[in-house]
Amino acid sequence: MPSLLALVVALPFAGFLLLSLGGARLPARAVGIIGVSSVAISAVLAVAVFVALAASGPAEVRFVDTVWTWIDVGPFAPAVAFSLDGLSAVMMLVVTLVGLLIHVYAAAYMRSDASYRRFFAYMNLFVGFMLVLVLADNLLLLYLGWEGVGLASYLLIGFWYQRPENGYAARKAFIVTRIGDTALAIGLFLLFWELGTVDIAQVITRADQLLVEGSAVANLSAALILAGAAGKSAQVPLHVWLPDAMAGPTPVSALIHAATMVTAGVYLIARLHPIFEAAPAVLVAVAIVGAVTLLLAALAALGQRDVKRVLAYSTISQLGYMVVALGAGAYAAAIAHLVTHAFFKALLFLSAGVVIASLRGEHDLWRMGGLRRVLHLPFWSFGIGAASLAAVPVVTAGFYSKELILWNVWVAEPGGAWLAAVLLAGTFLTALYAFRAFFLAFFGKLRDAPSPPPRGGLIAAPLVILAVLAIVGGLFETSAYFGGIELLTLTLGDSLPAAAHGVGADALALMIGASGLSLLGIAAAYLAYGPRVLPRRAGGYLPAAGRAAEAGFGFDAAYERIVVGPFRRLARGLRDEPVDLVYEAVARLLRAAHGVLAFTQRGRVRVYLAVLLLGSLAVLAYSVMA
Amino acid sequence: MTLGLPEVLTFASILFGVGAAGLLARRSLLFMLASIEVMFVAGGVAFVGVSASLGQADGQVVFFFVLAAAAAQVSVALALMLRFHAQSRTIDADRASSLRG
Amino acid sequence: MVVTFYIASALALAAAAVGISRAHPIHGLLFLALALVAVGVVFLAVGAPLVAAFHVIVYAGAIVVLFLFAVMVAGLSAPAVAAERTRLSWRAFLGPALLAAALAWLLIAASRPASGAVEEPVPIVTVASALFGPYIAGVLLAGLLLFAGLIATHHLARRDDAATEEQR
Repeated sequence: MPSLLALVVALPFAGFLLLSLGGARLPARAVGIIGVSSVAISAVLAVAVFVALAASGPAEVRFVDTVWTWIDVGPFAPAVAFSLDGLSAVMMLVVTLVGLLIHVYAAAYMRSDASYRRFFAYMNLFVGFMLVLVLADNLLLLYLGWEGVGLASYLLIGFWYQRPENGYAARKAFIVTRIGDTALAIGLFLLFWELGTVDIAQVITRADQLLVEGSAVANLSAALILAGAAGKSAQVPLHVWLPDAMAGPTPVSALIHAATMVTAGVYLIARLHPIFEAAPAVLVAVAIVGAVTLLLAALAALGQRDVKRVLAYSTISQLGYMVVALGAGAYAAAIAHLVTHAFFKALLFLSAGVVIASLRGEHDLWRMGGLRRVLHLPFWSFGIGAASLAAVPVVTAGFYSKELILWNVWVAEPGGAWLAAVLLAGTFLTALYAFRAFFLAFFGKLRDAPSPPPRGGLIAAPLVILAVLAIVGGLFETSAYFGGIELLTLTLGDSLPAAAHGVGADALALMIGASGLSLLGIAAAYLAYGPRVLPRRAGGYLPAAGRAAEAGFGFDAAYERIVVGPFRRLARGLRDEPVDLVYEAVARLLRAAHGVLAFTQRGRVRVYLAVLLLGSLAVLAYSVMA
Repeated sequence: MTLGLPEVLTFASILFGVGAAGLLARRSLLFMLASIEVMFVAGGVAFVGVSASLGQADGQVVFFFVLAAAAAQVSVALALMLRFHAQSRTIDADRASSLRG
Repeated sequence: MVVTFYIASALALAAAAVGISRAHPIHGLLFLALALVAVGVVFLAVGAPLVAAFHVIVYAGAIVVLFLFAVMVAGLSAPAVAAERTRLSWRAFLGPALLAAALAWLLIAASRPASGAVEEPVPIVTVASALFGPYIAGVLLAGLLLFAGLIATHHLARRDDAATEEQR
């Protein structure tokens, strides 16, 4: 059974190779079949491996599948090996299953694109690298996957490369995440230096034994890994790339920039949590980064006009939720939210994709409206997604995972109460911006007669399945009040500490408070943006604050001024190769000397003779005088 | 009264100077070559004079070598001069600067 | 001996000076031949009869004749001689003469440390056995040099012949 694990990873790569080497004459139907089936078979195998893991019970909680030894230098011998435990199994299932749904959707959605084959080649490449990332047995292979998904993300953001701004967005995403990746690489070097191994299981056990709590090495490596995670998971201050990453096709946004890749940072911190536990100060920093990101991105989402940017900021904000949970030590709760977020955010993106396609590429929420009457399926699916995002109590998946996070953060020390307050504020804001987008797009007056939306089973099936998952997908880990299901705890086994479940007056109060805030947020959105507010207030409310929010609170402008501008000036200065001036000076000197010498070589024999004679006179005179 | 070596060397020096003056002053390749012959001879005189004052044959041997070099040089130089003349109908050394390139 | 030397050397210098300043090549070469013969006498005076003989044979005999032959082949036109004559003013010799005087003076100054007298002629046998004894390699090389000169001259001359034959 373990050898299937390698196959799970290999299949998407095989799909990528087939598609990229298959030639331009591959018919579109074949492209779709190859692109989707590679992920589909991978998903089926993933389920099979998962079942085998579950069946093997707690005795054997970790599969390792060594394909070959990658490097063999004395004690440093990382293998290309994949391991499966509870945590990576959850990630693997999310990646393959949500990935499969999005691939199915994309098969229909991207059908008319001229670069259909290239699209699926990149998508398969992405899934392959993502699986390498989550299933890697050692940190080196994990880093390979980490960089690989960055590459795939770059390729797909710049998929429509004909427009320069898309290429710019792709480069921006690549470079900003690269800052984090560099920090991560240094952090991993530091870990290897300190612990002497790159094997993840060994790193975890040795970190428990060898890393002194609060030591400089522990703090530094944890901080560097945090920086890497912040880059990949778009946390402040490295979050600026994600809103621009929406330049890519919508299925890409759903798969990479909502459901899977951006959660890699969360996965990484959860995976290496013993290192963070050895560095409590950094763990506090994790919580603070998450809290700041959560609030900032939620506020920015309120100011966006572009529906995809609303969802992008929402993703940043929800990742902030997960990071807060990580910072509070509630790793399992973070993973739970990762799963439900994958469901409802993919659903939101795919629904938005249908809306955008039917409006011929219109992204602006203020130009939408009234679509409720024409786009029935997207209306319902977006509504369900928004409800799940807003954590509407009891009936949505988002509610359960957020409730889990809230309780675990509340009981965390230190500062649990403060973080919980931030989460509650975030709940209100989330509901507000989610339903703001929903009301603006689907209620009110119909602006444009939309063209027929993409239809068909391939579009509808993923939406329906994801909608169902966005409703019931949270019922794998619930508190005692909702049946006390502990499927996630069971699955994770001892790969992560189990999440706490709140019972008692505190828990009830928190739950009711959060639910109330969520509903309050929806109500506020209805009052501010609902169908009764007619005519719509064109610029929204608080125009100055709205503009600041739309600009993402000036992070881009600040980076432009502090980093990009000076760098450009430096590059302009260096473009003329100032170092070359030295060599040019040498060349010029030689040329001048050549000119002088050439002047003496003009073929005048008698001049030569005269000079020769003068020279010999000088020599003679010198010898006579001496 | 015997002949001193300084007198011989003085004669050689002045003869060399006469040859050098001719070499510098004349533009005709023919006369320039002739002046060079004079300078060769002046050198030979110095060698022979020193040889005689030392009572040894070596200086005279060197004179023979100088003689051979002069003969070879003048034959090649005159052939070159004739070719130059055949080409440009002149033996003016200043015109020879157009040979370049 | 001393008198011979002074007369011969004075004659040689005078003939050389006149020879290099003639406009007409033939005149110049005749004076040159005279100077060379006078130098031959100088060689006799310093007791080097073999050198004197060879000198007269090779320089005055072969080289000057070679010059004359070159003049004959090149063919001298009267206008060229006339042009040469106009160029040869005393001014043309002023600079070179000054330089040459400086050169001669320096050479004399450089040879000042030399002393001694020229008395006994070196026997011809000594010279000959030196030439064919320790210096035999040099003699052979001199022969090779002359041979190389012969070949070079032949090559330089041949092209011209080929060109003229083509013209015929």
